[in-house]
Amino acid sequence: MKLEIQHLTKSYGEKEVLKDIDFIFEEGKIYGLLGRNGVGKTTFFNALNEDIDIDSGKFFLETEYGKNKLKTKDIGYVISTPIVPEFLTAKEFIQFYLDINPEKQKKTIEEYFELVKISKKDQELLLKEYSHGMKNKIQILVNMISNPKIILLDEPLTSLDIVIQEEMKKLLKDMKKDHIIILSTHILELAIDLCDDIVILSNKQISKVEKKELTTKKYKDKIIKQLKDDKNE
Amino acid sequence: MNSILKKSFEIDTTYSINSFFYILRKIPIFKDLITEDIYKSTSLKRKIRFFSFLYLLCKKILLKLVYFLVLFYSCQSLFPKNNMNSFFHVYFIFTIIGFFINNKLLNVSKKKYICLLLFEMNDTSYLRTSFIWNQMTNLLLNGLCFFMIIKFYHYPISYSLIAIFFSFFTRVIGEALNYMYYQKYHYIWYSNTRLYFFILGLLLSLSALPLIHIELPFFVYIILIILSIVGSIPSWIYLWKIKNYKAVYKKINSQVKQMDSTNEKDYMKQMMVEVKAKDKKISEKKIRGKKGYDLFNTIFFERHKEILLRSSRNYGIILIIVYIGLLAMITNDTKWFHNIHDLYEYHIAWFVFIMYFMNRGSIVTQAMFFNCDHAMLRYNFYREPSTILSLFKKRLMTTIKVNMFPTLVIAIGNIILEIVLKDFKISLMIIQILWIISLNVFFSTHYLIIYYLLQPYNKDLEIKKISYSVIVLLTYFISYQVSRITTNTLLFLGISMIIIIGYITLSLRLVYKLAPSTFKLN
Repeated sequence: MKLEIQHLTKSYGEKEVLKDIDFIFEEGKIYGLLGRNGVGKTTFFNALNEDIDIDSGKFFLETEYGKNKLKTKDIGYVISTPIVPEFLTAKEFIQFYLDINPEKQKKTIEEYFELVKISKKDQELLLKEYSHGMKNKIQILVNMISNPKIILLDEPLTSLDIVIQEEMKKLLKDMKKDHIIILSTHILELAIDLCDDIVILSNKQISKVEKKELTTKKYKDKIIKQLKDDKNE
Repeated sequence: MNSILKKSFEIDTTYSINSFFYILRKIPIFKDLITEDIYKSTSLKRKIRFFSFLYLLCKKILLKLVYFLVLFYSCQSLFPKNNMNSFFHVYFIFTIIGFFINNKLLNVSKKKYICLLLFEMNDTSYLRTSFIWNQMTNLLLNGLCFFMIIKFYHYPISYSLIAIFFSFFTRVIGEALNYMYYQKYHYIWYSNTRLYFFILGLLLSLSALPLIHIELPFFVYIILIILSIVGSIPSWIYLWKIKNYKAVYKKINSQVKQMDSTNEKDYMKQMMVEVKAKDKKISEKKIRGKKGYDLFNTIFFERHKEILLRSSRNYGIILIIVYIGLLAMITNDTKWFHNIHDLYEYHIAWFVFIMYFMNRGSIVTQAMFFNCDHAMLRYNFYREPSTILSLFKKRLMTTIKVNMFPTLVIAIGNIILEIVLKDFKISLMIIQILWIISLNVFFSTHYLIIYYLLQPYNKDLEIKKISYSVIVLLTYFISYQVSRITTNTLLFLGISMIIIIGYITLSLRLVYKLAPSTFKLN
């Protein structure tokens, strides 16, 4: 499975953020998307998820059945500030999701909560009462159940405590088989530790940073150098 | 003090200049001519600062004049026989209302944020300067307004002076008491909506007393002005001694999330519709056997019951009081008997405006967006056309249900009044009840449809679509114009029913066609 981006361009008024991007993401990998503040990482995700109108460009999903236009249902998007329907309890929300998508249910609701380590007591709380990290878990859980082919994660581990971060990392590693996961982050160590490939958004373009035989230290330096070369900053 | 005032003006004028540039750049012909660099041009800004100041000054004067003249001419038309006494009566009560809700020290603004938190101005000086400035401008503007009615309508100077200074001194007491209340209970008193509506309702009822020929006598004004002068002395001292204004403001500001693009009005909207943990409990009976979207919508309604029904219940209660009042009037006063009789005979169209005014559709859509759609629209499954449409149908029923209590009060109130007026015709009555209910359906559908077709809100409940505001304004305007139609009741009911059915059918078709692409996050 491949996600192919063709000629993606997006501007805000006079400011061009993404310019004629061509890139291919492959299945079974976690991609770490790095870039300086304001270069357009979230814009790139929003464009893929059709949350914003783009100036030009096409997205295709190539599977064993052929190459088709990317549909939003193929995407699961975990945003940096998790937003959940706060008037529902966690259990009601997940149950609602399973009710409307019965074909996606592969486990019992308890087993699902077990995956993200949410206790029975917490399941009964209104999502309004959940912390940032807990809300994030719920967002990821919905994406795990819906099992989209592509998962976009916009700084998902920021402001989570270390224990939850480790749980999340494990979850993502478990999920990467059969999926394309793109994770945007500012934490270089996390990207190197968790991701299979590092891609950089700079100068309105996406490019892969080749690791080859480089040591971690040299790889880091190479990434930082490439980030520093961003003429937009 | 001067430097604080100067800085404060600079902030105000810079804001208005930037807003002007922003609006200018939105106009297609100027967009290409004026680049973003215009915001950086300090020399240009310095040159037009005077005009900006003039604009802000005119705006302040104009707003005050509009408020005053609306009040004045409303009294002129509502109480033609004794408009002077009635006007002073209403003015004094409105000043007392202002005493409770007009709160300059505790409200939040971007300017305050910049002055106190970013520029770190001395908070005591800032508080004193801005307070004195507000007091003096209000005194001058009130003076100007009263000068007009003394000059052109020969209103007595004694009454006018009392009114001007009553407003001046009451505001001092109001600010001090509100601040004291906040210090003690850590919330602004009118966040307690029950108390707020109770006091507001009571005072508004008192202001309506001239309708039954009761006005405050002159000696009450004398007592009120003496009380306000006496009360203002400790209030001045209290306000002068405030030392921790920055800390208090910081706290209110963080509550309001002011710089997170929210203004106080939007914050109040958020507070009104925000779901509370105490609303969690739902009767098992209500959700038994329900699944999916049906369950989702039921839980939404049950957890927002208090929020959604509160204002419609308040309107319903006010309407019951109004109908009882009208009943008392028509049984005791032949003039009122004939007036109300004429209303039902020729001016039934007024109920269009009343039903428009009563409809809580906008609160319902705000609650839907703030607590539900704002989050759910992030999930792709929720944006599927079938989901949007299936939930739309359920929500339409919910909105109609929310508005049903005041609707029924009006429908039943009309029957009772018409029986007393001896106008009771069973066939006409049934048509009228159906018409009132269909007006509820009409306005409920209207609000929901424009929400689905334009989705105007951002995450802070700010309205981001001008088209939405224009339609809301047009709805008001059209409802008002329709209400002025004078015609035969049966004819009007017949024609308006046809229009309502036509509008609903057409709009539903539009929603079904367009909502899947228009119902999205801004």
